[in-house]
Amino acid sequence: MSIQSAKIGITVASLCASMAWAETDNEFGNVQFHGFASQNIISTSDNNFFGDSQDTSTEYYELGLNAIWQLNSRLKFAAQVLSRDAGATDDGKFRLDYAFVDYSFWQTEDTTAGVRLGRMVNPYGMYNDTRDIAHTRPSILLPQSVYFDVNRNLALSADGGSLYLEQHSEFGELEFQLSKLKPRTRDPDLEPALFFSDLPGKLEGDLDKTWLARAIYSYDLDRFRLGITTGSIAVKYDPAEIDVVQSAGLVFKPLLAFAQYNSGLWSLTGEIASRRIKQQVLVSAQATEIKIRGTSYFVQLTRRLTDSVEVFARYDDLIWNNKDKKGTDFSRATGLPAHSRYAKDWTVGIRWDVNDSWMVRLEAHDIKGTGWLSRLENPNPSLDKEDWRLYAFSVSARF
Amino acid sequence: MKWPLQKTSRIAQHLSIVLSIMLFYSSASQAQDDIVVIAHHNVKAQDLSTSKVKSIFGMRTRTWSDGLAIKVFVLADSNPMHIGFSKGILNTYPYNLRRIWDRRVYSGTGLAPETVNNEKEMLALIATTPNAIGYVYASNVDINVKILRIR
Repeated sequence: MSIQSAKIGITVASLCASMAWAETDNEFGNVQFHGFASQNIISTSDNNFFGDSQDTSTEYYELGLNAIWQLNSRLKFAAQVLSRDAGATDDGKFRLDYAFVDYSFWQTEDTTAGVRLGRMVNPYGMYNDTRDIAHTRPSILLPQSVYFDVNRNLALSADGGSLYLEQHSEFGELEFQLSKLKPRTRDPDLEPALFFSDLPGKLEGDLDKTWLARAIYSYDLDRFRLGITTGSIAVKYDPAEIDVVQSAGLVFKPLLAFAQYNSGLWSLTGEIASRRIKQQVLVSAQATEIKIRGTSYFVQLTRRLTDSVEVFARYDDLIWNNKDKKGTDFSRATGLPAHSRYAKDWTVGIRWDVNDSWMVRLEAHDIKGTGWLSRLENPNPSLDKEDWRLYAFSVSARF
Repeated sequence: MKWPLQKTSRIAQHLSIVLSIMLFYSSASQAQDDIVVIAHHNVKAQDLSTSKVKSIFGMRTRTWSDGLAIKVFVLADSNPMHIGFSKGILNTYPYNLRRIWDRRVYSGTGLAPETVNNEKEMLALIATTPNAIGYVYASNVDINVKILRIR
């Protein structure tokens, strides 16, 4: 399985790279196709991440194709299909990441305002919009404290509608987006992550309680970039006919802020997320409600060494519950390890852009805590190691 | 807050390795050639502010003042003239532009500029594509395109 997936990834990556830039221009407007592929190798000292990584895993690849069709200056369609394998947390099946129509009803030289309908990328933080395209990530793995890969589908995109405004002035560019959405809940790992066990019912996105808003300011082609995201993402549990759980729901209220300074050769990036989670479960007529507030943040320094080589260092910190930062209360109450409630990840890495299409990367993580490990891949938390290391290597292509 | 010595030394170790790699390299200065921004003859503008040029090549300003969609042409990221244009006129780097375009393209929210193979092709396409904008060396400008001065 793993060797096969590696082969598929590499074959398609070569195909992508050998294909020329695809673009056609005719009376029906302008169509652009872009593709991307990445094959990764992950090795960990302890614990599993994206496959059986203690024995070196090749079960992490991404393969996608997107199309943008600009019919005229006001109307466009965009869609992306993706196949992604990530150990037990993803299955490699092709799926539609987004497909939407975009109509800009107000357009002047400096202002664009419009509406998007369909399945859209969530306006969430700094890196979510293009999280599966290796070339656009700052590292092989995104900082997991803010961009959990365990619930990637939920985080990436959702079905609904969105209003946007883009304003240009001498003082910079302002971008605002407000979305009303029904979250996607088809992450294999989502239920175990929320309810600690695999249940017979289904999780459904809750349209009534889900919205996201994001504002981004950028100055001088991203010399400075500042952004803020807020909103509410709600899912509810739809019980099976015979089920120990009668009802359950979860509301996630994030508040994220990011800042980036790009000086050309140096780039300094920071993002902080305050996460409020309210979880309600009704089991055998007994209701429990858990409310916790957690914090995630990362600070990342990148340096261009040459036109094609870049190195970075990052510190990434996750705390599940601000009132129980070391997880001791949690451990006392549940018997599960305290280190499953936090993760502190030091990462260093190097990126080499071989040419305009191909990229090679290598990175090393030194991690304390198991807060963002997948339960599907690490079914017995008491066997997890608190101090562990992760090494990753990737080969990526795009056109 | 307690901050164990062992942890501090581990952090210091990480940082010192990274910083020493980063500081080892210094940027080499690069000579600039005379590059000018050109457009199709139907484009009404005679000149553009620096911030407008940045916004157009950053694919943020998408229409001319008369509402027609701007068509942007560039050379490949690694092309020396594109590097010269990015540094000299936009005061940035090709990889930064690529990062900005990628964010739009891969989230489905905007198109990337069209990449052409060489300067000759650039001149031919700007001459024949209404609303087009691009760049060439000043010495190679011909009568089929117009020069946009940068204010």
